[in-house]
Amino acid sequence: MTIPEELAVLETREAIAHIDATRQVMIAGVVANRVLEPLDVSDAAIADTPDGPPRAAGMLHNGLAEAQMIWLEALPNDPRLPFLFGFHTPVEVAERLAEICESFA
Amino acid sequence: MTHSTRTFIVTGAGGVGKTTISAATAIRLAGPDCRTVVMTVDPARRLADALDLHSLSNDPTPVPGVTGLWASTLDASASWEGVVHRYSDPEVAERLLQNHYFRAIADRFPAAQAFAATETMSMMIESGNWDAIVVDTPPSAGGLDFFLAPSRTADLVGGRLLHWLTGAQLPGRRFLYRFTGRPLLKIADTVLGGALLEDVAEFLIDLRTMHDRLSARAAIIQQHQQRATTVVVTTADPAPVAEVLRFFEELTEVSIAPAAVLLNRALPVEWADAARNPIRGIPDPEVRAVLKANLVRWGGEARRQATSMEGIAQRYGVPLLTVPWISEPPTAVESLTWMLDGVEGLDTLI
Repeated sequence: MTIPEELAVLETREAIAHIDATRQVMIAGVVANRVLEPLDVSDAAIADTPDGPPRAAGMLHNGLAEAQMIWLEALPNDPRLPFLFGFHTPVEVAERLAEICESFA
Repeated sequence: MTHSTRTFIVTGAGGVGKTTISAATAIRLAGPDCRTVVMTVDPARRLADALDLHSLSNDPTPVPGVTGLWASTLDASASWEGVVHRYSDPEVAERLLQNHYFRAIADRFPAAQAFAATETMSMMIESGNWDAIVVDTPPSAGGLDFFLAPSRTADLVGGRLLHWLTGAQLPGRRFLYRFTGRPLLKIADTVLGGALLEDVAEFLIDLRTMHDRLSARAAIIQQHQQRATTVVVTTADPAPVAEVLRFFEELTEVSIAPAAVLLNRALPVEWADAARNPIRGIPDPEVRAVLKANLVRWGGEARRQATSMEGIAQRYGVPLLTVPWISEPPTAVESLTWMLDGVEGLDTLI
């Protein structure tokens, strides 16, 4: 498991290299968690909107999604789990992730 | 002068942005009248990248483009060598450093790197060369190892197990080789053979000889830590927040009280309220609908952050500083310079 951020991806790649070198365990997959999909609105269209929370939240979202892409490209193209907005507790997160994982099967 | 050195310890769980916050704080402090060093004990070289330095070492290196700022990192193995030489007689030090049991401990003892880091920090404070020192702690145990390392290391070297193995009084070098020695070693000798036993015995005795000096040093290091300004960095995610709680609970053990909690990747709380209201001023209905739905999601996150952090600062009586969530973490001196602009309460702290 990893997340598409610099530190996590670099450490994941180091771990993969180490596990591959020892040849004791097969890695079945590398699952990226908390992945953001870009909004269906371009950065230019967002930039044209008035200053305020909708614009700022849109810019942050697309900026984060773009930054994540760089790190996702450094990982194998295995299943990815979405960023779960609005889930507060580990149990809520686990239940939602379980539903998503079932859809992979 | 030692008393004029201000020390800032930046700690918290892994992945919350400690290294970045440390670098940004150091840049903020450094200047012609404030010689500042930022030291990282994180084996990754992110600090070096952020500061455009690619060959950090134990010796502080000037950071290009920032007057008065130096940066250093820590080679745990080299630092243990220094510790052994400082707290043992030369011949004991040489023996210990050659001993493969000691090398194994230096490489694997969880507090070893942290102790070496505290030692380096203390030497920098005592050198009188620095007006400010910023320490980026290792993420192990949420940064707790850095604070607990002096007592744990002293416990290891002079611990009850070691005393039990070597006896109440420091024994003569040959004492442990004899079958009349400790029962455990007697069994070990039978099972493993005399040569191995000699190595073990020699190692244990040498370790004991370091005890008095090292435990005295550990007490001084703890005093430096207690005088430092400690900031706990976190995000609003459950795991780092749990680490913050643990941190406050366990640091009382060594009489250290953090000065502030810094919430990194903070969302504006007004997003939560704004998400409940209609969006105005965006004529295109599709753009409006997408941005509204997005604001509802992020507004929920802002509310979740507020809930998650609620009470932490009040509970422990420390200020909560917030650093806004930005899409791309700063990775250059220029972006590090402005990242802490506008963080309320920070300048009072530093």
